[in-house]
Amino acid sequence: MKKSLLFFFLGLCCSIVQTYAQTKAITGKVTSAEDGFPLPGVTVKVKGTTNGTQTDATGMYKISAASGSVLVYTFLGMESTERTVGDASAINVQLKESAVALKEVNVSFGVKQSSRDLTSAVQTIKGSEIQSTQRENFLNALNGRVAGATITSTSGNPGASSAIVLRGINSVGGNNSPLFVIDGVRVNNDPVDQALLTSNGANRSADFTNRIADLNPDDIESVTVLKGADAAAVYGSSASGGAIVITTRKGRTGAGAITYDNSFSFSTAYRFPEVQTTFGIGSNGVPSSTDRRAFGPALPAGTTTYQNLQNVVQTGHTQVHNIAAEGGNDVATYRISASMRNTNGVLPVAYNDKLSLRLSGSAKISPKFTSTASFNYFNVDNRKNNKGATGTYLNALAWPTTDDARNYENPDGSRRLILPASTTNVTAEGSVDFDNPLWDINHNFSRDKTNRVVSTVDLSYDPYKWLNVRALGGIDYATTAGNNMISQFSSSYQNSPLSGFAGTSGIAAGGIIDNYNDNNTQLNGSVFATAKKTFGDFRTSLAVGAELISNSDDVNGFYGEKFSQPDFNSVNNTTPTTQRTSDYLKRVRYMSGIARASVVYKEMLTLNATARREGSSKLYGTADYSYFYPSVGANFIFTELPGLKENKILTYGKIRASYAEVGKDPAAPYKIFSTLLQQATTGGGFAYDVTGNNPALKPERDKEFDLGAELQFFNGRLGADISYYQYRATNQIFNPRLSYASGYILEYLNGGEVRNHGVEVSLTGMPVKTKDFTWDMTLNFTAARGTVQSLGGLPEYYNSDTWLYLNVRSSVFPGSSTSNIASYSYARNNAGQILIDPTSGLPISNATFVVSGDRQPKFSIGYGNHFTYKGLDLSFLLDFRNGGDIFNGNELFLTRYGLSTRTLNRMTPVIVPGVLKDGNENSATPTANTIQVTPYNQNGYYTGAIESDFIEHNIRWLRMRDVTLGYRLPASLLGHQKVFKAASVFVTGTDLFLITNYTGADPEVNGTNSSTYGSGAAGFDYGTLPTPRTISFGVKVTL
Amino acid sequence: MKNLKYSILTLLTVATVSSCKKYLDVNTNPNAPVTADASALLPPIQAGMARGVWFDTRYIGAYAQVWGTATANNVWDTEGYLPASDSNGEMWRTVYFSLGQNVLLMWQDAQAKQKWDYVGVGYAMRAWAWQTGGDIYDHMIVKEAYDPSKLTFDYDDGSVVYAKVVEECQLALNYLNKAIKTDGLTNNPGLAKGDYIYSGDRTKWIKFVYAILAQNQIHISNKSTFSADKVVKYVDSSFVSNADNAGVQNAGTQSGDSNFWGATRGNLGLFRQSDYIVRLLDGRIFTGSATPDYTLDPRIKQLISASKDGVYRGVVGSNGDPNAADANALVPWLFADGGTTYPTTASKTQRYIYNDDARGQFMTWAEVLFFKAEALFKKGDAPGALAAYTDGIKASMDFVSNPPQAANFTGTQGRITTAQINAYLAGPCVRKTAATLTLADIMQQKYIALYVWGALEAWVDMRKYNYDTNIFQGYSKPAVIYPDNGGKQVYVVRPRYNSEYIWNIPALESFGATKPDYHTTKPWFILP
Repeated sequence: MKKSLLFFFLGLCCSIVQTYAQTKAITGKVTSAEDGFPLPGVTVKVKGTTNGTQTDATGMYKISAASGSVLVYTFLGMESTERTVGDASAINVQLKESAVALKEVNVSFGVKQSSRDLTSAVQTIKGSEIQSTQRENFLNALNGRVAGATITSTSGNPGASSAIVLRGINSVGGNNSPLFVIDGVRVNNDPVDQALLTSNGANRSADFTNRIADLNPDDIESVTVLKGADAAAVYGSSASGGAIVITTRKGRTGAGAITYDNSFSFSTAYRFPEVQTTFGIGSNGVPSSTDRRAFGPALPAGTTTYQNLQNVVQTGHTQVHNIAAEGGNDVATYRISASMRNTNGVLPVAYNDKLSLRLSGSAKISPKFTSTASFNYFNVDNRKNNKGATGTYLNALAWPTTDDARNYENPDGSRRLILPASTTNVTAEGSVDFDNPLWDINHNFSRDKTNRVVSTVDLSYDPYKWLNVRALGGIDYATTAGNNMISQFSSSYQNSPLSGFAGTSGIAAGGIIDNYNDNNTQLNGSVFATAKKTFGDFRTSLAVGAELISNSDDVNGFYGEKFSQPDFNSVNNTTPTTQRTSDYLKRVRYMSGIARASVVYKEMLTLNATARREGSSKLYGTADYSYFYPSVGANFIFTELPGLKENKILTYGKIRASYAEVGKDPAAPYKIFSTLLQQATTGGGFAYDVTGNNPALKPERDKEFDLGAELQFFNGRLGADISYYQYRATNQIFNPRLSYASGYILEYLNGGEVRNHGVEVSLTGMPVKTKDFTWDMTLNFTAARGTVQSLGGLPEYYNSDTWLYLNVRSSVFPGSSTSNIASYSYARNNAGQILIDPTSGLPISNATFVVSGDRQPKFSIGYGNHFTYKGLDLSFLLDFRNGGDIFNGNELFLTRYGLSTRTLNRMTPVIVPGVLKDGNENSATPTANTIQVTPYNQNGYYTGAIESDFIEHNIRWLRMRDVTLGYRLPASLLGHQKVFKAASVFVTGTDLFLITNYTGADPEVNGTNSSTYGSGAAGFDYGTLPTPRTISFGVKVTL
Repeated sequence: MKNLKYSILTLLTVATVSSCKKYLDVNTNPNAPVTADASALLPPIQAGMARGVWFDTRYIGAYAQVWGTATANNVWDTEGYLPASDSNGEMWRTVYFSLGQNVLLMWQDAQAKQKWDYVGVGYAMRAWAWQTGGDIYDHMIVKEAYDPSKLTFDYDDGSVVYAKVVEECQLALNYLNKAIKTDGLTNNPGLAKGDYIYSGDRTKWIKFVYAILAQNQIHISNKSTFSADKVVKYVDSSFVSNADNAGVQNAGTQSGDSNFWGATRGNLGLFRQSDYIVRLLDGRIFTGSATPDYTLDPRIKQLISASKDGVYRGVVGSNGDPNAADANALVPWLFADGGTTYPTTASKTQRYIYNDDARGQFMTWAEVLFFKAEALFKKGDAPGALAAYTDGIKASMDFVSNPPQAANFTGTQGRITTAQINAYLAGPCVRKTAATLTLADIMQQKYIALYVWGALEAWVDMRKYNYDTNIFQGYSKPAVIYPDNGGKQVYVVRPRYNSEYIWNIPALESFGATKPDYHTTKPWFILP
């Protein structure tokens, strides 16, 4: 090794000596075309020679070259540029970022790897692309930008959580969210689980931000998405759903710079469920003073009606201010950034205020020792609207159309009621006096305040040229204080620990306080020793390391009812006998040993292998708490073959294949020994809870096979990255209901198998590239299928949180899709004819959950375009989805409430086609139904609507995800002043339009929130505000 | 030097491996216990026993015509069932969930600490649960029950359930005797801590086990293997007074710890006493008279309620209450004499077992005496049968007169005088000679003794004699029979819907339990 190095340097000297005599000295500065920053470390070479140098920390270089010779500037991630040496002795060069670069990517524990050496599917998104969308939750900006990623925002409210799933649902009962890693350190993305509050809610009525949304998008340099189990091979079971590796911006060497940017946004809601205004309040055509449903007589001509939802929404304002300062030299760099964001929602009162302060710095302590550290503080204050059954959105929809919802208070400030005051807990749909939406927002509270610190340390030591030892450590500490209050005058209801967790309204409870404190600490650290050596044609590396993870999450809940002072928002205001507290402490630890080996032959063939032994505390108590899994991958860069090497058309071609296994522990700890629950029966004492745990639990075993090709044509002008994968997840850990003979009602079990397979294609192209004008585009295509092969002999598994409204829920059956919708449907005879009740003439429900829909789209496409013309910059992203079913819960509600436009033809008598269930239904001659029903007089026609009718099939959409127009002020304009080095202005629109065959407002909502396991309730549209249309503009200046 | 380096490295590796285990040992749930003292586990198990019996009694009482519903053609009155519902599946929950793993956990603690009485009590409760469950469901999951590696569970037929009862009774006796032998105590304060059935009295538990054995044997009286002598032997080893009755204490402080039949629970809104019980108590059945005589049986005022007009009325089969709209003549709520609304005021001074703190009865002294009477009658020992029958009536009178409340095994209310009892025994309702004694007398006096709490046993008797109206002389086949029955009468209850009919269907299919008329299949124990 030493010998060969010596020869290398000798050779280098010789070549310099050889060329020196005939040349002149050229100096210059290399800067980034994007932001004008100097680029240190750019290789400058005289073409065809070995004569070369590198730019220094300020981007300056000096080289000797003959007139007429060509200088080649190359820098990783940038397009290489050539300049011919003329008369001038100074050549300044701007390098553009490569559209389809063969970049280094941040794959594992902060270690950069050349993308050439990768053997599995990885996609990288630039931070600038994410920032330009101006989205509050940066996950939503990834929508359409990552092939294979499904991102669902819970709602359009400020602070809404967002769920991301890569390559489909692999665990029917577990967590399918990918792991989030910032600068090599794991961070928390878990939202608060509503079930951990004292009220033990079902994740429906409230949303809690997924914590990665705290991250300031302006601090993101890039986001690398590691799809599939190969990621887990490095990061362990928490990455079995893939990993999202975020690299933050670091200070750059050179003169210091300060950048400031801002953004002012205006959001408006569009697309509303349609509400009829022809018929008034009543039932069966008779007016009523005790029923709010719109089954009464037709309203007299000229009656003023109101579109209350439309009247209640407002324009939401957002402002964002980001400021960052950076600087540094060869030895040390730093970057300080601050971000302040204030978002007001399109529903009144709701807001989300975010503050982020970040400091990162790096220093070379000695030539062999580098240290990097970051410190990030977040403060988030989120005032929320309640969602779902008695949430603000449905309150607005349910408000009588003859009444102006904006008029919500009596002159004395008390709640204006529609129905006579009721002190009892009414639950029949018609007799619930839904809160006025505005009254609800102003009198019922839901607010979370979070303080969070994320701190990372990265120490790197190179004792020898071939050996690197690296230690990474991270602390992610967050406290959230949550306040939920239901007024004692409110009809909104929630679970109460005082009544066995049954729903209780504010009126019945005399006011409810349901507060919590969540303390979340995530510590993790790793040490790796990496050896790299080249033996002849073989370039090898071997990394051996260990990782420790220790997470703890402590949720303290305190609850009380019966206010002493009306609407005084404190648990101290509740009656002591109604006060309840709860504590849920969750501790999880991992200890892992990891080995990675890589062999590259002639820069053409790569073989990667990983082995990880992981000990999980979540399985501690079983025989399998420590488990092992391997991965192996290979690639072949066939364009390195002699015949193809200098091919002008196909410039780069790689095929790759990988196989990975991962062991996956249960989604939560304490699932080994069953827990006891205190009993209120005579003598008190303890009895087992309904869910049994299981000392025989084994890790879920996921196996993934991934096949891919990466192709680049015409020097990167056109590129394609194609992946096909197959995923087989066996030994599913889930907690199904099962026979009571188990001793429990639900039990944690290993059973069943899920298979996923899919195709992902990322195309990149640059149709036009001239000096002033460029056009590049990207297209991400995803088609995926997930099937439940078996449930270990059980017929069905469902997540009860998704059982939102009537009998529709997210449940899987053997053979069904992983994102199946199950619902009640029509009862039918053996011949498949609909059965009709002989007394009412109305169809009969089968009262059984059957497969009614599949939320999985056939395929989806994200299509992005980016144009630059001189200082002008235009980019937009279109999102197209084809297929997938949606449960239109709002429409089902409106139908049962007499407000749907489908109830307008209620005067027309109908005979429901079908046969009478009179005992002859399965005979050769069933009795055909001849009973005529006039729905106007018999509103059971609507109130008994069959659920399966409200699952809309084959939903397609075309959505303008975002469009940004930016203009960089030319240097001539800035020339005469010394304040701004660069300045630009922009205008951005997000979710500008949605074209869809879905009859509801927006098919992209989540009925629960992102903390729900399994396939969750994405595609369940019930009482949730869709994402509004937002237009933002702002400026960006560099000082 | 090199050696030192390697030895440090080796030491580090070893330390890491052993500390790995320690580091990961944080999976003990800090939020809820996973083990508990046997005395803390026993009370909810016992409360679960009561819950199972009486939640299902609501429906089985209709099958046995102990009561009916005010509206006609109620699904249970027509001997049907509710599809896709857990109704009438509560005993299933009791056997597998309330007892189930909880008994196993209690045994863990009891075995480790050599609390043999807790082990014995566990077996006794399980034997009772298998017996009660087997009588309701016939087929049950016995051999594969509680296996944590199983997702679906195979069934065993009634013979296996019945054998399991005997096996576990024997184990219960072994452990209870072992406990007494170990410390010499018949009444153990350690057991009393968690025991809300017998307050720690081991001898009473032994008597209860014999009562279960007697019940197990008398139920198979149609079989050639039946032994009347065994019944007699078991009964003679069981209860000797109402103070031995198996019943669980109810604190009666709130809905969750109150007696099922008490006002606070509010469970009885739908039920109306049956015409059958009225005719048994007003003498029409026993005397053959067409006119009711409310002075004959002193229990009538305690057990059932008169309408506002003073007449005792009941619901016939599936007919409902024809006078439901007439406030004067409607059949009143179970314990609301003359009342036209459901009594909701919580009270501890109600008659019979309608108090919030009345003890919930599983088996009584009178009941076992009637086992003996029936057994001896079958054997041909009419005088012996007469003696047991007479004792049974006396025991029933005593129980109705002094119903137990709170922690007391018997009450002291004395609602029926000795003179009244003697008058009844001397009166026309009671047979005085062995020659005149019929099986109908025995079974119907037992039916009265079981009134309101013992519908499960009453239904066992009716099925055993195929609803024979010569024996159950006030029973009438419902005018309307549930359509799926195909005209047949109900003989078995389906396993719990949300346990079996969704999650264990192939196992159900193996014995035809998914057929629409499965509930008319005759159970193993009544077959010859």
